[in-house]
Amino acid sequence: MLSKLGRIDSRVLYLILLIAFIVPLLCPLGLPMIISDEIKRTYDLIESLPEGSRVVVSFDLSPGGYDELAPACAAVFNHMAMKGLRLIGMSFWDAGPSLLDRSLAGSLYVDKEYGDDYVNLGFLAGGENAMAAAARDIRGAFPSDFHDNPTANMPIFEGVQSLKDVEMVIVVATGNPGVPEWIRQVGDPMGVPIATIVIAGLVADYAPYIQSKQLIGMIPGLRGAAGYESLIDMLGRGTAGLDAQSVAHLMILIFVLVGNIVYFAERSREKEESAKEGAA
Amino acid sequence: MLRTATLAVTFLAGIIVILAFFFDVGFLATAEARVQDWGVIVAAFALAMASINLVQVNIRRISSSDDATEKICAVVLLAALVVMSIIGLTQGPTSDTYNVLFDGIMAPGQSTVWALGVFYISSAAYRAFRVKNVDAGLLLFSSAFVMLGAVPIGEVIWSGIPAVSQWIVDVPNMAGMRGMLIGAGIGAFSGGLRLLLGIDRTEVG
Repeated sequence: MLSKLGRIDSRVLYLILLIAFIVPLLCPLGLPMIISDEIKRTYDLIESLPEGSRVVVSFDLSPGGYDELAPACAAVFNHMAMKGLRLIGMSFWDAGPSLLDRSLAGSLYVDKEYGDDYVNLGFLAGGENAMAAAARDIRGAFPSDFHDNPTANMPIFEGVQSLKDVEMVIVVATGNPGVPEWIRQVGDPMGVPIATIVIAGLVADYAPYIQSKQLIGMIPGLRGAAGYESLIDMLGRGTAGLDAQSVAHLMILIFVLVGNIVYFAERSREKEESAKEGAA
Repeated sequence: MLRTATLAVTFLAGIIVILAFFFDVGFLATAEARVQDWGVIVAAFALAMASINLVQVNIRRISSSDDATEKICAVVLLAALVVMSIIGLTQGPTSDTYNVLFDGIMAPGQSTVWALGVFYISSAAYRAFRVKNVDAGLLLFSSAFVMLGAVPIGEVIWSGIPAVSQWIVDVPNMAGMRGMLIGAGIGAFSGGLRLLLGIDRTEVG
């Protein structure tokens, strides 16, 4: 039995995992929500901004990571729209602007006025250097937006020369350039508070920035989305997906446990056999 | 001559940005702004160069490879590059055609590859994550606590899991990550200095 388990086909494991994903999506378990301090601090900062404040959203992500972050983006954008905050979107990853357009279209910003309440500035090549250029002179770095509209006379930029003039930066990140670069070019030198919506795999990497308060808040993937949806009282895809993620994490740990039981059983059997051979 | 000029430009660009960071002087700030603007332009050219390089490499692969699958992949890649470039350049990246290709092929394709990772991880975890020694045991137990602490089911299993998970992230992980960050910072400083002073000449060949 155990030796059969040791040689189990990978496709069986894939199927078990797939079922573990699908069942909680169809029949939610209603597990309790976790709202960490980092999620709460992001919420509190957005909540504390007066109506009309400008928040830069840097969409530094790939389409691969977008699905994990989309529910959190929707929750944060909805909160910002409800608070009447103005959103200045930009990206230093080539696929970012298209994904930002998609994310905005699924949020309450769709009913707001483009160019006044929100804008998608598009992509700027050059990574950290481009961030520095945009931080120094935002309209100089983006003379036109993603939809080819000139930014010179857009109402959203009235009184904004550099990123010193915005109230907050939210970095939606799946890698570099991303959070560390924003901290180096804007957070530390300009004193602008930075929060991030980040894939779960990067949480440990960015934890030191939270402790040093260089990052004010962090919304990690689906868990962050579910917590944020609960805070703004608008349950969505984050809450629905969290049960599936829970069961998948548990299933992977069960795989590891079973794998180790098989490993130790086989090792013990081999030892017994070699001891018998030695005795013979 | 070309090598000396390249080294001189590297030194000048670097020293202007460094001085502008430490000294709030008008002409230095203007010079820094110009250098940053040039950096953006050079990066845009680098993207174009990368595309040309991609075409060259894949044309070579089509003409010289014996592997039929590799040839097909190269043809598909070049076709995608040409189609997306033509549509992007002629109709713009917000046109309906571009969006159909982006939303219908590129985004779901990348999402699929990303999502498949979890299946490979599960299989690898089953076959390779063995407690063969104390180090592997520590890794297994800490990863189990962090994985369960990251999702609500951890608290359902045992109410102490989130606290243990948070301690692992805040203390041992933090110590390691800070060490790595400081090390990387010193390395970047040293590398930058070598580049500025012309000791490291890999970029000029």
